Amino acid sequence: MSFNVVVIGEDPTHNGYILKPLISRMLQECGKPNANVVVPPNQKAKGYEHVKALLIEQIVDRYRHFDLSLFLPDADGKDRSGEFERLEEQASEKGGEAIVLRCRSRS
Amino acid sequence: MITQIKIVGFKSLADVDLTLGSFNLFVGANTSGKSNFFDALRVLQGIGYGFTIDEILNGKPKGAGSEVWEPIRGGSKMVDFVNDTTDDPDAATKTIQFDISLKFSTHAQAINYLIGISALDGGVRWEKLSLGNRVIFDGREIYVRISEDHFLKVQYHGEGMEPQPDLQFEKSRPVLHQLLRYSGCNESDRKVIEACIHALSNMQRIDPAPAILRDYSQTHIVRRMGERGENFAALLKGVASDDKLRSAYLSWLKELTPSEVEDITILQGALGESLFAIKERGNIYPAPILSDGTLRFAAITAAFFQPDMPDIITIEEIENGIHPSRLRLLVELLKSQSSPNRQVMATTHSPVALAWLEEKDYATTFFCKRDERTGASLITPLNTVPRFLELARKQPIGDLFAEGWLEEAR
Repeated sequence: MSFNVVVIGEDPTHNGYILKPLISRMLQECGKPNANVVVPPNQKAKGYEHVKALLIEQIVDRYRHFDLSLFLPDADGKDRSGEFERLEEQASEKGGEAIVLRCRSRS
Repeated sequence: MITQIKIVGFKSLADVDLTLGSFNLFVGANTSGKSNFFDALRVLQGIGYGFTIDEILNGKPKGAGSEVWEPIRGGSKMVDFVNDTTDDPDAATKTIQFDISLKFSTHAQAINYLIGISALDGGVRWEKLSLGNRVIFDGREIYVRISEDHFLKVQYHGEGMEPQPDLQFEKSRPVLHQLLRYSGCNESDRKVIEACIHALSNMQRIDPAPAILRDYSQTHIVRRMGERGENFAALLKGVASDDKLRSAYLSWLKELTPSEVEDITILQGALGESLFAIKERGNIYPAPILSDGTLRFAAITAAFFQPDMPDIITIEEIENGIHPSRLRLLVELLKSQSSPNRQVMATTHSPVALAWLEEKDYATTFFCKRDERTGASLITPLNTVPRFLELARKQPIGDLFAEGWLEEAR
């Protein structure tokens, strides 16, 4: 059984081609060389607030059978760590396992 | 109607077993196996026609009493399933098997037909026909040392008859037609064989080509059009001459076009040839100026108005040329016109077409995908895809399809 990961960026349609090999490589380093990485293209998804809403309303539910949902928001120079924690809790309540990757902008 | 079909070793269909309904829709990405399933149906149709296995797979030129039979894509060289994970074993041992159950209004019991064929030597390996639990014939390939040839040794179990000695038939073509010519075959068994042959051969592929639909048809009314839409206008000439049929046909066409279609009409060429035309606001628009989509829809609809209706209609990529807002109409047409006597098998790539399905349709809406390891096609009814029903009740099914969620469902 391969390790199944769904990856959600702020612009999945355009960033998907970058995110897929990147996350596959990261998972290889984490000991999951055969991980199945899926970046669902959603042409309507644009921007942090929209993707955040989709994550909770649809994506976590759709991919609940996956081992992990990775949300990769842009840093935008803001500290959203509290919000990210709440997102992870909400995903958990819906039966999914989500991690929001915290990125820091270089100052 | 084919109620059950099992296909083994044919192209990407390593082992597929489906329970079919009146309306069957196949969805899935390119190269997922949808067209291979339709090719398998064509093999069965060729068996129904009584062609040799070689003719079925490699094609047959026009004969005195038969039309051209196009080869199965790739011919006999490319019809065996090749497992991606193993080295190709001796091709001579490979057998493609079709096992189907047919249900008829005329027979209370199902007719079961099984055939195993070898693409390499163009012959039948085994074949069996049963009515319910009663075996009518059972044949196997044998090698006869004296003549150094292969034959089919067939045991015929005639209803109410003493056991027959083994019969020998040629192995290049199915037993079905050969047994019909055998004088010892009794009348009731003959009817079962004929019913099986009729169900297999009476299949029509509808793939209308706009260039053909724009052309003149023959002068005389036809009872069935060609698979590319040949004689489309000659068929509609008959529909147009019957008020009830004309009105029913017109009601479908009116739904398709936003402008007001008043009527259909058949124009005549110099020699009385037929040309399809529609009447709108008093103007006549002949087929050559109608759009591809309008003509395609008109031809697909016309297929359900043929006086000589096939038992099975197959249509690939139903959405071609049809505006998304009119796809609902096409789905409704196919669903409403299909019945146990008129089975429809169709494919689509359109998420919009899926959106118009109801939950009861999911049992015969088949999702096709390839097994990443073996390359085999996996064909699954949507209602058995894990979590599909739960999600389809709250999220648009078209989104799930377009996003590729079905490929990842486990």
